[in-house]
Amino acid sequence: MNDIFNLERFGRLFIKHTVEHYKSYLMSLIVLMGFMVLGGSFVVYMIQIPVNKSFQAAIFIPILLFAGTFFTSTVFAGIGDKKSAVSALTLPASHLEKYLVAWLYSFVIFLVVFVTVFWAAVMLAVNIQHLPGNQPDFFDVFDRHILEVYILYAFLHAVALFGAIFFEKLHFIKTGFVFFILFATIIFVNKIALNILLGRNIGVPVPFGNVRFIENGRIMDINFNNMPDPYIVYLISVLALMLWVASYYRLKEKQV
Amino acid sequence: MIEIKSLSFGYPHKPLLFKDLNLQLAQGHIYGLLGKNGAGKSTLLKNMTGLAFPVKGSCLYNAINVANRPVSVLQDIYFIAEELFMPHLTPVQFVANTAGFYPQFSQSDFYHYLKALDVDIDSVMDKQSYGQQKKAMIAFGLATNTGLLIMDEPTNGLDIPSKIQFRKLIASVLTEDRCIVISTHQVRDLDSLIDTLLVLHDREIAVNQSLDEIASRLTFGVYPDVKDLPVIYEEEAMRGKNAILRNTTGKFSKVDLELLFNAIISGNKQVLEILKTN
Repeated sequence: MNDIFNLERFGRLFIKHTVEHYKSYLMSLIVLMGFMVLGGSFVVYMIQIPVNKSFQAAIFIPILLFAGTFFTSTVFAGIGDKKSAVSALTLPASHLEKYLVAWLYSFVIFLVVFVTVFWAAVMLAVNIQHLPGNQPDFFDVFDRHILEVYILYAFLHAVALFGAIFFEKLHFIKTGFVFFILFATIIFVNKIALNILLGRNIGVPVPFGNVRFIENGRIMDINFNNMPDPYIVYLISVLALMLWVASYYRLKEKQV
Repeated sequence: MIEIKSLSFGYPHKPLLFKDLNLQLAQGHIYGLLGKNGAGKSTLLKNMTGLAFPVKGSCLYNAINVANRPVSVLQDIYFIAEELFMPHLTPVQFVANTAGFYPQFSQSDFYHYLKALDVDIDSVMDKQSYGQQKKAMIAFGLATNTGLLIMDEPTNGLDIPSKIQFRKLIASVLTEDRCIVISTHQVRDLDSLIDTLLVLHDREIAVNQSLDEIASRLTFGVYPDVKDLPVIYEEEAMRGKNAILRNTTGKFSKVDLELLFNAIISGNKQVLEILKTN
Protein backbone atom coordinates (compact mmCIF):
# COMPACT_ATOMS: atom_id res chain seq x y z
CA MET A 1 0.00 0.00 0.00
CA ASN A 2 1.26 3.48 -0.88
CA ASP A 3 3.01 5.19 2.03
CA ILE A 4 2.33 8.71 0.67
CA PHE A 5 -1.31 8.73 -0.42
CA ASN A 6 -4.03 6.15 -0.78
CA LEU A 7 -7.55 7.26 -1.68
CA GLU A 8 -9.30 4.51 0.25
CA ARG A 9 -7.27 5.21 3.38
CA PHE A 10 -7.80 8.96 2.96
CA GLY A 11 -11.56 8.38 2.75
CA ARG A 12 -11.43 6.27 5.90
CA LEU A 13 -9.48 8.99 7.70
CA PHE A 14 -11.91 11.68 6.52
CA ILE A 15 -14.84 9.64 7.87
CA LYS A 16 -13.04 8.99 11.18
CA HIS A 17 -12.29 12.69 11.58
CA THR A 18 -15.89 13.58 10.76
CA VAL A 19 -17.38 11.04 13.17
CA GLU A 20 -15.10 12.18 16.00
CA HIS A 21 -15.61 15.92 15.42
CA TYR A 22 -19.04 16.43 13.89
CA LYS A 23 -20.66 17.43 17.18
CA SER A 24 -18.19 20.22 17.91
CA TYR A 25 -18.28 21.33 14.26
CA LEU A 26 -22.08 21.47 14.29
CA MET A 27 -22.00 23.48 17.51
CA SER A 28 -19.51 25.91 15.94
CA LEU A 29 -21.78 26.21 12.92
CA ILE A 30 -24.77 27.01 15.13
CA VAL A 31 -22.74 29.67 16.97
CA LEU A 32 -21.75 31.18 13.61
CA MET A 33 -25.36 31.15 12.38
CA GLY A 34 -26.60 32.62 15.67
CA PHE A 35 -23.98 35.36 15.51
CA MET A 36 -24.95 36.28 11.95
CA VAL A 37 -28.70 36.19 12.51
CA LEU A 38 -28.42 38.19 15.75
CA GLY A 39 -25.97 40.62 14.13
CA GLY A 40 -28.23 40.96 11.08
CA SER A 41 -31.29 41.55 13.26
CA PHE A 42 -29.40 44.19 15.24
CA VAL A 43 -28.47 46.03 12.05
CA VAL A 44 -32.00 45.83 10.64
CA TYR A 45 -34.01 46.71 13.75
CA MET A 46 -31.70 48.74 15.96
CA ILE A 47 -29.41 50.90 13.83
CA GLN A 48 -31.30 50.69 10.53
CA ILE A 49 -28.31 50.92 8.20
CA PRO A 50 -29.18 49.83 4.64
CA VAL A 51 -27.86 46.30 4.13
CA ASN A 52 -26.41 47.14 0.72
CA LYS A 53 -23.52 45.60 -1.19
CA SER A 54 -20.78 47.64 0.44
CA PHE A 55 -22.16 47.03 3.91
CA GLN A 56 -22.39 43.29 3.20
CA ALA A 57 -18.80 43.17 1.98
CA ALA A 58 -17.60 45.25 4.93
CA ILE A 59 -19.13 42.71 7.32
CA PHE A 60 -18.22 39.62 5.28
CA ILE A 61 -14.47 40.23 5.16
CA PRO A 62 -13.58 40.66 8.85
CA ILE A 63 -15.91 37.88 10.01
CA LEU A 64 -14.50 35.49 7.40
CA LEU A 65 -10.90 36.28 8.33
CA PHE A 66 -11.51 36.08 12.07
CA ALA A 67 -13.81 33.03 12.14
CA GLY A 68 -11.72 31.19 9.54
CA THR A 69 -8.39 31.66 11.26
CA PHE A 70 -9.93 30.88 14.64
CA PHE A 71 -11.41 27.62 13.33
CA THR A 72 -8.17 26.74 11.53
CA SER A 73 -6.17 27.23 14.71
CA THR A 74 -8.22 24.42 16.28
CA VAL A 75 -7.93 21.76 13.56
CA PHE A 76 -4.60 20.45 14.80
CA ALA A 77 -5.41 20.86 18.49
CA GLY A 78 -5.24 17.06 18.67
CA ILE A 79 -1.52 16.98 18.04
CA GLY A 80 -0.83 19.78 20.52
CA ASP A 81 -2.22 17.73 23.38
CA LYS A 82 0.21 14.93 24.27
CA LYS A 83 -2.53 12.36 24.95
CA SER A 84 -4.33 12.77 21.65
CA ALA A 85 -1.09 13.37 19.74
CA VAL A 86 0.00 9.79 20.41
CA SER A 87 -3.13 8.33 18.82
CA ALA A 88 -3.16 10.90 16.00
CA LEU A 89 0.49 10.47 15.01
CA THR A 90 0.60 6.68 15.34
CA LEU A 91 -2.63 6.15 13.40
CA PRO A 92 -1.68 4.26 10.23
CA ALA A 93 -2.30 7.01 7.70
CA SER A 94 0.32 9.11 5.94
CA HIS A 95 1.22 12.64 7.01
CA LEU A 96 -0.15 13.91 3.72
CA GLU A 97 -3.53 12.28 4.34
CA LYS A 98 -3.70 13.66 7.90
CA TYR A 99 -2.70 17.09 6.63
CA LEU A 100 -5.20 17.06 3.78
CA VAL A 101 -8.12 16.18 6.05
CA ALA A 102 -7.35 19.20 8.25
CA TRP A 103 -6.74 21.42 5.22
CA LEU A 104 -9.99 20.38 3.54
CA TYR A 105 -12.05 21.00 6.66
CA SER A 106 -10.47 24.33 7.57
CA PHE A 107 -10.14 25.80 4.08
CA VAL A 108 -12.50 24.30 1.51
CA ILE A 109 -15.36 23.08 3.68
CA PHE A 110 -15.14 26.09 5.99
CA LEU A 111 -15.26 28.54 3.04
CA VAL A 112 -18.26 26.80 1.45
CA VAL A 113 -20.16 26.64 4.75
CA PHE A 114 -19.26 30.19 5.72
CA VAL A 115 -20.28 31.72 2.39
CA THR A 116 -23.55 29.74 2.42
CA VAL A 117 -24.42 30.78 5.98
CA PHE A 118 -23.45 34.40 5.35
CA TRP A 119 -25.48 34.47 2.14
CA ALA A 120 -28.52 33.06 3.95
CA ALA A 121 -28.15 35.64 6.76
CA VAL A 122 -27.86 38.47 4.21
CA MET A 123 -30.93 37.21 2.33
CA LEU A 124 -32.85 37.21 5.58
CA ALA A 125 -31.68 40.69 6.61
CA VAL A 126 -32.31 42.24 3.20
CA ASN A 127 -35.77 40.72 2.92
CA ILE A 128 -36.94 41.82 6.36
CA GLN A 129 -35.53 45.34 6.02
CA HIS A 130 -37.90 47.90 4.53
CA LEU A 131 -36.19 51.28 4.33
CA PRO A 132 -37.83 53.91 2.10
CA GLY A 133 -36.15 54.16 -1.32
CA ASN A 134 -33.83 51.23 -0.61
CA GLN A 135 -33.68 48.54 -3.34
CA PRO A 136 -32.55 45.07 -2.20
CA ASP A 137 -29.12 44.23 -3.61
CA PHE A 138 -26.60 41.46 -2.88
CA PHE A 139 -22.86 41.48 -3.16
CA ASP A 140 -21.30 38.95 -5.52
CA VAL A 141 -19.27 36.35 -3.60
CA PHE A 142 -17.36 35.67 -6.82
CA ASP A 143 -16.58 39.32 -7.49
CA ARG A 144 -12.90 39.94 -8.41
CA HIS A 145 -12.24 41.92 -5.23
CA ILE A 146 -13.91 39.24 -3.10
CA LEU A 147 -11.76 36.61 -4.83
CA GLU A 148 -8.76 38.63 -3.66
CA VAL A 149 -10.20 38.41 -0.15
CA TYR A 150 -10.22 34.62 -0.51
CA ILE A 151 -6.53 34.78 -1.39
CA LEU A 152 -5.89 36.91 1.69
CA TYR A 153 -7.88 34.30 3.64
CA ALA A 154 -5.69 31.57 2.12
CA PHE A 155 -2.61 33.39 3.43
CA LEU A 156 -4.04 33.91 6.92
CA HIS A 157 -5.33 30.31 6.89
CA ALA A 158 -1.80 29.12 6.12
CA VAL A 159 -0.43 31.23 8.99
CA ALA A 160 -3.09 29.84 11.38
CA LEU A 161 -2.48 26.28 10.16
CA PHE A 162 1.25 26.58 10.76
CA GLY A 163 0.59 28.01 14.23
CA ALA A 164 -1.89 25.22 14.94
CA ILE A 165 0.86 22.65 14.36
CA PHE A 166 3.72 24.65 15.82
CA PHE A 167 2.21 25.60 19.17
CA GLU A 168 0.96 23.08 21.72
CA LYS A 169 -1.75 25.22 23.27
CA LEU A 170 -3.41 28.65 22.96
CA HIS A 171 -2.81 28.28 19.23
CA PHE A 172 -4.91 31.23 18.08
CA ILE A 173 -3.52 33.73 20.60
CA LYS A 174 0.10 32.65 20.19
CA THR A 175 -0.10 32.59 16.38
CA GLY A 176 -1.76 36.02 16.32
CA PHE A 177 0.83 37.41 18.73
CA VAL A 178 3.79 36.14 16.71
CA PHE A 179 2.19 37.20 13.42
CA PHE A 180 1.59 40.79 14.53
CA ILE A 181 5.02 41.09 16.16
CA LEU A 182 6.65 39.82 12.96
CA PHE A 183 4.50 42.09 10.81
CA ALA A 184 5.36 45.16 12.94
CA THR A 185 9.07 44.24 12.90
CA ILE A 186 9.10 43.85 9.12
CA ILE A 187 7.41 47.24 8.66
CA PHE A 188 9.82 48.86 11.10
CA VAL A 189 12.89 47.37 9.40
CA ASN A 190 11.44 48.21 5.98
CA LYS A 191 10.90 51.82 7.06
CA ILE A 192 14.48 52.20 8.34
CA ALA A 193 15.88 50.60 5.16
CA LEU A 194 13.78 52.83 2.89
CA ASN A 195 14.59 55.97 4.89
CA ILE A 196 18.31 55.24 4.44
CA LEU A 197 17.88 54.23 0.78
CA LEU A 198 15.80 57.23 -0.28
CA GLY A 199 17.09 59.79 2.24
CA ARG A 200 13.55 60.74 3.20
CA ASN A 201 11.09 60.12 5.99
CA ILE A 202 8.86 57.42 4.50
CA GLY A 203 5.31 56.79 5.69
CA VAL A 204 4.33 53.36 7.04
CA PRO A 205 5.72 51.10 4.26
CA VAL A 206 3.83 47.81 3.85
CA PRO A 207 6.32 45.30 2.38
CA PHE A 208 6.11 45.19 -1.43
CA GLY A 209 3.55 48.01 -1.33
CA ASN A 210 3.77 51.66 -2.35
CA VAL A 211 6.36 54.03 -0.95
CA ARG A 212 4.78 57.28 0.28
CA PHE A 213 6.50 60.44 1.48
CA ILE A 214 5.88 64.18 1.63
CA GLU A 215 7.99 66.49 -0.51
CA ASN A 216 7.46 70.24 -0.75
CA GLY A 217 4.14 69.82 0.98
CA ARG A 218 2.91 67.28 -1.58
CA ILE A 219 2.21 63.61 -0.96
CA MET A 220 4.35 61.51 -3.30
CA ASP A 221 3.61 57.84 -4.11
CA ILE A 222 6.06 55.48 -5.79
CA ASN A 223 4.66 52.21 -7.09
CA PHE A 224 4.98 49.72 -9.91
CA ASN A 225 3.42 51.17 -13.03
CA ASN A 226 0.30 49.39 -14.27
CA MET A 227 0.65 46.37 -12.01
CA PRO A 228 -0.01 47.31 -8.42
CA ASP A 229 -2.72 44.84 -7.37
CA PRO A 230 -1.83 41.52 -9.05
CA TYR A 231 1.72 41.85 -7.78
CA ILE A 232 0.59 41.76 -4.15
CA VAL A 233 -2.01 39.06 -4.92
CA TYR A 234 0.64 36.81 -6.49
CA LEU A 235 2.98 37.45 -3.61
CA ILE A 236 0.36 36.58 -1.00
CA SER A 237 -0.57 33.44 -2.98
CA VAL A 238 3.06 32.32 -3.05
CA LEU A 239 3.44 33.03 0.67
CA ALA A 240 0.26 31.02 1.39
CA LEU A 241 1.59 28.10 -0.65
CA MET A 242 4.96 28.25 1.12
CA LEU A 243 3.31 28.26 4.54
CA TRP A 244 1.01 25.36 3.60
CA VAL A 245 4.06 23.35 2.55
CA ALA A 246 5.91 24.41 5.72
CA SER A 247 2.92 23.29 7.81
CA TYR A 248 3.00 19.87 6.15
CA TYR A 249 6.69 19.44 6.96
CA ARG A 250 6.10 20.71 10.49
CA LEU A 251 3.48 17.95 10.86
CA LYS A 252 5.98 15.38 9.58
CA GLU A 253 8.50 16.54 12.17
CA LYS A 254 6.04 16.70 15.05
CA GLN A 255 7.22 14.87 18.17
CA VAL A 256 5.44 14.06 21.40
CA MET B 1 12.30 -6.87 14.61
CA ILE B 2 13.32 -3.70 16.49
CA GLU B 3 16.89 -2.60 16.15
CA ILE B 4 18.14 0.44 17.98
CA LYS B 5 21.58 1.51 16.81
CA SER B 6 23.79 3.99 18.69
CA LEU B 7 20.76 5.98 19.69
CA SER B 8 21.27 9.24 21.56
CA PHE B 9 18.27 11.24 22.63
CA GLY B 10 17.66 14.30 24.75
CA TYR B 11 14.91 16.84 25.08
CA PRO B 12 15.81 20.40 24.00
CA HIS B 13 17.92 22.32 26.54
CA LYS B 14 18.32 19.21 28.71
CA PRO B 15 21.14 16.67 29.07
CA LEU B 16 21.01 13.52 26.97
CA LEU B 17 18.65 10.86 28.28
CA PHE B 18 20.31 8.08 26.28
CA LYS B 19 23.78 7.98 24.81
CA ASP B 20 24.83 5.49 22.13
CA LEU B 21 22.12 3.09 23.21
CA ASN B 22 21.92 -0.24 21.39
CA LEU B 23 19.08 -2.72 21.67
CA GLN B 24 17.57 -5.52 19.65
CA LEU B 25 14.12 -6.93 20.27
CA ALA B 26 13.00 -10.13 18.59
CA GLN B 27 9.68 -11.75 17.72
CA GLY B 28 8.17 -14.32 20.04
CA HIS B 29 9.11 -12.54 23.26
CA ILE B 30 7.44 -10.55 25.99
CA TYR B 31 9.88 -7.91 27.20
CA GLY B 32 9.52 -6.15 30.53
CA LEU B 33 11.10 -2.71 30.56
CA LEU B 34 12.05 -1.42 34.00
CA GLY B 35 13.66 1.80 35.06
CA LYS B 36 13.52 4.43 37.76
CA ASN B 37 11.19 7.39 37.42
CA GLY B 38 12.78 9.71 34.89
CA ALA B 39 15.12 7.03 33.51
CA GLY B 40 13.48 7.47 30.10
CA LYS B 41 11.27 4.37 29.73
CA SER B 42 8.41 6.26 28.07
CA THR B 43 10.86 8.25 25.96
CA LEU B 44 12.51 5.05 24.74
CA LEU B 45 9.09 3.68 23.80
CA LYS B 46 8.32 6.91 21.94
CA ASN B 47 11.57 6.54 20.00
CA MET B 48 10.51 3.00 19.13
CA THR B 49 7.15 4.18 17.80
CA GLY B 50 8.35 7.23 15.86
CA LEU B 51 6.88 9.74 18.30
CA ALA B 52 10.30 11.10 19.27
CA PHE B 53 13.32 11.42 17.00
CA PRO B 54 16.84 10.54 18.12
CA VAL B 55 19.53 13.20 18.09
CA LYS B 56 21.90 10.55 16.79
CA GLY B 57 21.54 6.94 15.67
CA SER B 58 18.33 5.27 14.57
CA CYS B 59 15.52 2.99 15.52
CA LEU B 60 14.57 0.49 12.83
CA TYR B 61 11.49 -1.71 12.61
CA ASN B 62 12.12 -4.58 10.21
CA ALA B 63 14.95 -2.45 8.75
CA ILE B 64 12.69 0.61 8.22
CA ASN B 65 13.38 3.84 10.12
CA VAL B 66 10.39 4.44 12.41
CA ALA B 67 11.13 8.17 12.72
CA ASN B 68 9.59 8.67 9.26
CA ARG B 69 6.35 7.09 10.52
CA PRO B 70 5.66 5.22 7.26
CA VAL B 71 2.18 3.68 7.04
CA SER B 72 3.65 0.21 6.48
CA VAL B 73 5.31 0.45 9.90
CA LEU B 74 2.46 2.20 11.73
CA GLN B 75 -0.02 -0.47 10.73
CA ASP B 76 2.17 -3.15 12.28
CA ILE B 77 2.83 -1.33 15.58
CA TYR B 78 0.34 -0.53 18.30
CA PHE B 79 1.30 1.70 21.20
CA ILE B 80 -0.80 2.01 24.34
CA ALA B 81 0.46 5.12 26.10
CA GLU B 82 0.27 5.64 29.84
CA GLU B 83 -2.17 8.50 29.45
CA LEU B 84 -4.88 7.79 26.96
CA PHE B 85 -6.92 9.96 24.68
CA MET B 86 -10.47 8.66 24.45
CA PRO B 87 -12.88 9.93 21.80
CA HIS B 88 -16.52 10.61 22.61
CA LEU B 89 -17.52 7.23 21.14
CA THR B 90 -18.53 3.83 22.41
CA PRO B 91 -16.03 0.99 21.87
CA VAL B 92 -18.28 -0.29 19.05
CA GLN B 93 -18.27 3.11 17.29
CA PHE B 94 -14.53 3.49 17.84
CA VAL B 95 -13.83 0.14 16.24
CA ALA B 96 -16.16 0.90 13.33
CA ASN B 97 -13.99 3.79 12.14
CA THR B 98 -10.53 2.88 13.45
CA ALA B 99 -10.15 -0.88 12.99
CA GLY B 100 -9.91 -0.49 9.19
CA PHE B 101 -6.48 1.10 9.54
CA TYR B 102 -5.06 -2.16 10.91
CA PRO B 103 -5.07 -4.92 8.28
CA GLN B 104 -4.86 -7.76 10.83
CA PHE B 105 -7.57 -6.41 13.13
CA SER B 106 -10.00 -9.04 14.40
CA GLN B 107 -13.48 -7.91 15.48
CA SER B 108 -14.21 -11.21 17.17
CA ASP B 109 -10.96 -10.98 19.18
CA PHE B 110 -11.84 -7.44 20.20
CA TYR B 111 -15.25 -8.40 21.60
CA HIS B 112 -13.73 -11.44 23.26
CA TYR B 113 -11.10 -9.28 25.01
CA LEU B 114 -13.69 -6.68 26.02
CA LYS B 115 -15.78 -9.41 27.59
CA ALA B 116 -12.80 -10.98 29.33
CA LEU B 117 -11.78 -7.60 30.76
CA ASP B 118 -15.38 -6.77 31.69
CA VAL B 119 -15.66 -3.57 29.63
CA ASP B 120 -19.09 -2.10 28.93
CA ILE B 121 -19.37 -1.91 25.13
CA ASP B 122 -22.28 0.53 25.16
CA SER B 123 -20.87 3.32 27.30
CA VAL B 124 -19.05 6.29 25.79
CA MET B 125 -15.32 5.82 26.24
CA ASP B 126 -14.41 9.31 27.47
CA LYS B 127 -17.03 8.97 30.22
CA GLN B 128 -15.69 5.64 31.46
CA SER B 129 -13.43 5.29 34.50
CA TYR B 130 -9.67 5.36 33.89
CA GLY B 131 -9.46 1.62 34.43
CA GLN B 132 -12.26 0.93 31.95
CA GLN B 133 -10.61 3.20 29.38
CA LYS B 134 -7.32 1.42 29.84
CA LYS B 135 -8.95 -1.98 29.43
CA ALA B 136 -10.84 -0.88 26.30
CA MET B 137 -7.58 0.28 24.69
CA ILE B 138 -5.74 -2.87 25.78
CA ALA B 139 -8.52 -4.91 24.12
CA PHE B 140 -8.20 -2.80 20.96
CA GLY B 141 -4.40 -3.05 20.97
CA LEU B 142 -4.47 -6.83 21.36
CA ALA B 143 -7.11 -7.16 18.61
CA THR B 144 -5.02 -5.19 16.10
CA ASN B 145 -2.76 -8.26 15.94
CA THR B 146 0.19 -6.04 15.09
CA GLY B 147 3.67 -7.53 15.03
CA LEU B 148 4.79 -5.16 17.78
CA LEU B 149 2.61 -4.24 20.74
CA ILE B 150 4.04 -1.68 23.13
CA MET B 151 2.38 -0.84 26.42
CA ASP B 152 3.43 1.90 28.80
CA GLU B 153 2.25 1.27 32.36
CA PRO B 154 -0.70 -0.85 31.17
CA THR B 155 -1.68 -2.03 34.64
CA ASN B 156 -2.07 1.48 36.09
CA GLY B 157 -5.70 1.88 37.10
CA LEU B 158 -6.54 -1.82 36.80
CA ASP B 159 -8.11 -3.58 39.77
CA ILE B 160 -6.75 -6.95 40.92
CA PRO B 161 -9.17 -9.16 38.89
CA SER B 162 -8.41 -7.07 35.80
CA LYS B 163 -4.66 -7.42 36.35
CA ILE B 164 -5.10 -11.20 36.48
CA GLN B 165 -7.15 -11.14 33.28
CA PHE B 166 -4.58 -8.86 31.67
CA ARG B 167 -1.77 -11.30 32.40
CA LYS B 168 -3.78 -14.20 31.04
CA LEU B 169 -4.63 -12.33 27.84
CA ILE B 170 -1.06 -11.18 27.24
CA ALA B 171 0.22 -14.71 27.70
CA SER B 172 -2.44 -16.02 25.31
CA VAL B 173 -1.78 -13.56 22.45
CA LEU B 174 1.97 -14.10 22.19
CA THR B 175 2.84 -15.90 18.98
CA GLU B 176 6.12 -16.56 17.20
CA ASP B 177 5.46 -13.54 14.96
CA ARG B 178 4.67 -11.12 17.71
CA CYS B 179 6.75 -9.03 20.08
CA ILE B 180 5.30 -7.41 23.18
CA VAL B 181 7.02 -4.73 25.23
CA ILE B 182 5.61 -3.76 28.62
CA SER B 183 7.04 -0.85 30.52
CA THR B 184 6.10 -0.45 34.15
CA HIS B 185 7.31 0.71 37.52
CA GLN B 186 5.03 -1.87 39.18
CA VAL B 187 7.59 -4.63 39.02
CA ARG B 188 5.32 -7.24 40.62
CA ASP B 189 2.89 -6.93 37.72
CA LEU B 190 5.49 -8.46 35.43
CA ASP B 191 6.02 -11.55 37.57
CA SER B 192 5.38 -14.74 35.59
CA LEU B 193 4.47 -12.68 32.55
CA ILE B 194 7.65 -11.59 30.81
CA ASP B 195 10.36 -13.82 29.45
CA THR B 196 13.02 -11.15 28.93
CA LEU B 197 14.03 -8.32 31.22
CA LEU B 198 15.21 -4.91 30.05
CA VAL B 199 16.53 -2.47 32.62
CA LEU B 200 17.14 1.11 31.64
CA HIS B 201 19.66 2.74 33.95
CA ASP B 202 22.21 5.52 33.69
CA ARG B 203 21.34 6.39 30.07
CA GLU B 204 21.84 2.85 28.81
CA ILE B 205 20.30 -0.60 28.74
CA ALA B 206 21.93 -2.12 31.80
CA VAL B 207 20.22 -5.51 31.39
CA ASN B 208 18.77 -7.23 28.32
CA GLN B 209 18.51 -10.88 29.25
CA SER B 210 15.99 -13.64 29.39
CA LEU B 211 14.80 -14.68 32.83
CA ASP B 212 16.33 -18.11 32.22
CA GLU B 213 19.74 -16.57 31.59
CA ILE B 214 19.41 -14.45 34.73
CA ALA B 215 18.35 -17.49 36.78
CA SER B 216 21.31 -19.45 35.42
CA ARG B 217 23.71 -16.85 36.80
CA LEU B 218 22.01 -15.60 39.93
CA THR B 219 20.14 -17.26 42.74
CA PHE B 220 17.32 -15.49 44.53
CA GLY B 221 16.05 -16.53 47.93
CA VAL B 222 14.91 -15.64 51.42
CA TYR B 223 17.46 -16.56 54.04
CA PRO B 224 17.10 -16.38 57.85
CA ASP B 225 20.81 -15.69 58.13
CA VAL B 226 23.23 -14.65 55.38
CA LYS B 227 26.38 -14.40 57.49
CA ASP B 228 28.20 -17.28 55.82
CA LEU B 229 26.71 -16.86 52.35
CA PRO B 230 28.44 -15.13 49.41
CA VAL B 231 25.68 -12.53 49.13
CA ILE B 232 25.85 -10.04 46.29
CA TYR B 233 22.86 -7.99 47.36
CA GLU B 234 20.44 -8.21 50.26
CA GLU B 235 17.35 -6.52 51.66
CA GLU B 236 15.59 -6.88 54.98
CA ALA B 237 12.43 -9.00 54.80
CA MET B 238 9.76 -10.25 57.21
CA ARG B 239 11.30 -13.71 57.48
CA GLY B 240 14.96 -12.84 57.24
CA LYS B 241 16.75 -11.41 54.24
CA ASN B 242 15.92 -11.36 50.54
CA ALA B 243 19.23 -11.99 48.88
CA ILE B 244 20.89 -12.41 45.52
CA LEU B 245 23.76 -14.87 45.25
CA ARG B 246 25.88 -16.08 42.40
CA ASN B 247 24.36 -19.28 41.04
CA THR B 248 26.99 -21.91 41.64
CA THR B 249 24.71 -24.92 41.87
CA GLY B 250 23.17 -24.80 38.39
CA LYS B 251 19.71 -24.92 39.91
CA PHE B 252 17.20 -22.31 38.74
CA SER B 253 15.40 -20.16 41.29
CA LYS B 254 12.49 -17.81 40.53
CA VAL B 255 13.87 -14.42 39.52
CA ASP B 256 12.83 -11.80 42.05
CA LEU B 257 12.43 -8.88 39.64
CA GLU B 258 11.98 -6.30 42.36
CA LEU B 259 15.10 -7.39 44.23
CA LEU B 260 17.16 -7.51 41.04
CA PHE B 261 15.88 -4.10 39.96
CA ASN B 262 16.70 -2.60 43.37
CA ALA B 263 20.19 -4.09 43.21
CA ILE B 264 20.83 -2.54 39.82
CA ILE B 265 19.52 0.93 40.58
CA SER B 266 21.34 1.00 43.92
CA GLY B 267 24.55 0.82 41.89
CA ASN B 268 25.52 -2.79 42.67
CA LYS B 269 28.15 -3.40 40.00
CA GLN B 270 28.76 -7.03 40.88
CA VAL B 271 25.26 -8.03 39.81
CA LEU B 272 25.74 -6.39 36.44
CA GLU B 273 29.20 -7.90 36.00
CA ILE B 274 27.88 -11.40 36.67
CA LEU B 275 25.00 -10.89 34.27
CA LYS B 276 27.32 -9.60 31.57
CA THR B 277 29.88 -12.40 31.79
CA ASN B 278 29.57 -15.00 29.06
